[in-house]
Amino acid sequence: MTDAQIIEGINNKDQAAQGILFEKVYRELVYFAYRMVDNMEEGKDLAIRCFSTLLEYQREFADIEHVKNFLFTTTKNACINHLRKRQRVNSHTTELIQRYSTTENWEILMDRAELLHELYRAVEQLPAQSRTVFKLTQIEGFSYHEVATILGLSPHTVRNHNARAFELLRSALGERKLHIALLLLHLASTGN
Amino acid sequence: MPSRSDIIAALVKHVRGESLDTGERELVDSFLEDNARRQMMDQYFFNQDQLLAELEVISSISIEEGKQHLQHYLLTHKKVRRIGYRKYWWIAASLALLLTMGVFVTTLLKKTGTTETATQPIPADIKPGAFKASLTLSNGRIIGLDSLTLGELAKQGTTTVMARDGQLVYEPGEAQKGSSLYNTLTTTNGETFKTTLSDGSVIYLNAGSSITYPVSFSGNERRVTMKGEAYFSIAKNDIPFIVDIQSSTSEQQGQITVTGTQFNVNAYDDEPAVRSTLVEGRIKFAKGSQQVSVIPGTQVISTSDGLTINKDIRIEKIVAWISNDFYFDGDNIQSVMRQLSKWYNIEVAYKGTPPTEPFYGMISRKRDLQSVLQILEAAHIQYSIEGRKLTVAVLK
Repeated sequence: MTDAQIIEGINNKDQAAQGILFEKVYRELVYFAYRMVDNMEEGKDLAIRCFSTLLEYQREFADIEHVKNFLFTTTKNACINHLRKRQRVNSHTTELIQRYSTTENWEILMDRAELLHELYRAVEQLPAQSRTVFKLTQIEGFSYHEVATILGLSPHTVRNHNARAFELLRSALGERKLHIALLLLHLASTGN
Repeated sequence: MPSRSDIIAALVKHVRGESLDTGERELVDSFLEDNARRQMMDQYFFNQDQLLAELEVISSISIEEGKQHLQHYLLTHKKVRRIGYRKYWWIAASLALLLTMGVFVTTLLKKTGTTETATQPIPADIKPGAFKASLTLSNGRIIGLDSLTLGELAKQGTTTVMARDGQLVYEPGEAQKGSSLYNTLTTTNGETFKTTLSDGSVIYLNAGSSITYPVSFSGNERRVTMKGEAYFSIAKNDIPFIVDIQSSTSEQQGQITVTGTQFNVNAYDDEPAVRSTLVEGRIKFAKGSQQVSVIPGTQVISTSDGLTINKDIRIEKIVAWISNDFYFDGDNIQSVMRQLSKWYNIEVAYKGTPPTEPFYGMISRKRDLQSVLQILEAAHIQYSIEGRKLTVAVLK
């Protein structure tokens, strides 16, 4: 789906579009909320709650940026309210509230979340098989033959997947950040 | 006016060290004019270690888990809405396409009522499964559990057995040497329960299943025995956690060894194979002289012929039961009926040749049997019910 189709779908409460939007923004939103309230579980709760308000929203969205703005603003407000409630318990919270009540600061956090997400997605786009092969050979240290046995492929195919992975990562993260890619793959393939 | 996504795209290239064209250069420069933003970039994107840490954080966020979380949230914060409508949107686009081809979902979503077969009224007592189970203590005493059970149930050695929020919890007392006391949690058809063991591991038990475990873990292994179907979320610990899978006649079907991980085991006697699916972490599956280690997203299939590995799986389908849903993804009628019979505690028989068409769709396990049987009506399959026995016949 193109962005335009997603927006049309969102405005029509189309379930498939809502699903695609969720996949596009969920991680950014959770990261953003997490950094605001400094707690991953609470961040996830807040992001989920705010995404659900989008599902109920009556007015129409003009484009994807409009949607993202809505989501981030709603999440920002929910986070500040959440922090205020928590404030009675904890002085660290006061610091967080002060930091993110300034528009400047939460907008910068939004920039950070989006940029991070874009970088992450580039690596994630590696096809599953290539990712697995790369991980098994580079991180786990299996030989091509061992990988071939584990995955039920020919050693030749394994070598191709490995090469493809290297190429994709080089273009996704740039030459000097290849070592980051190694660890990312490790994480990406043990997660979702 | 440059769009936000243009700015982000230019910044991505900048971080990667790629060369920028004039337009992109301008976007990056004006972004970096702001001191606070330049500082943020230096701190999080141009510091290798920090960038890695941030990417690790973002990669640890699971979309699958998020979808389930959202579904839970929507179900528990329901306002007035058409039943079943909201639940389907987060299914991947490709499956959504399949679903629109599947008769069952069309019927449920549109409620056009174009069923031609006469609907048999279902006897009022066929309710869906509930949070219930029986707990057998080490001394043989049996305690009935349900979602209302609350508080301390027993003391087993120095461990306290408690119930709260519809689950069983084992709170460890001081470490105790000596032989372990064992408890068994059992569900019959129509029951399901959840327990947290004394090491923090959580086990979800499906209908018609049982799990035997020590009340406290000591020594160099954490070993439990299971029958039926269970989902394990094992607490990370250096001491390996071992699951002995048995058939209802206590025949060994395989053994799983893990240190900290999440996986589902389906070992019902009436299923053609034992299926163990790894969601997160690492498992090692052993049966007889065969042994295999797998990575997440993989299923180990164990039959009398040995072990095979299956990567062509949909995790949401396998763990749907924990969110209290049925998830049919190309299941034939026998597979659908095996699941229904365990949850609704009914017997199923077939008149004539059972139909072969695949069923697709999701439906909450909380629905009563009648709603679920609309699947059959939509596929022109006639059925009749007598007491707790369902007979399926194909309507030509």
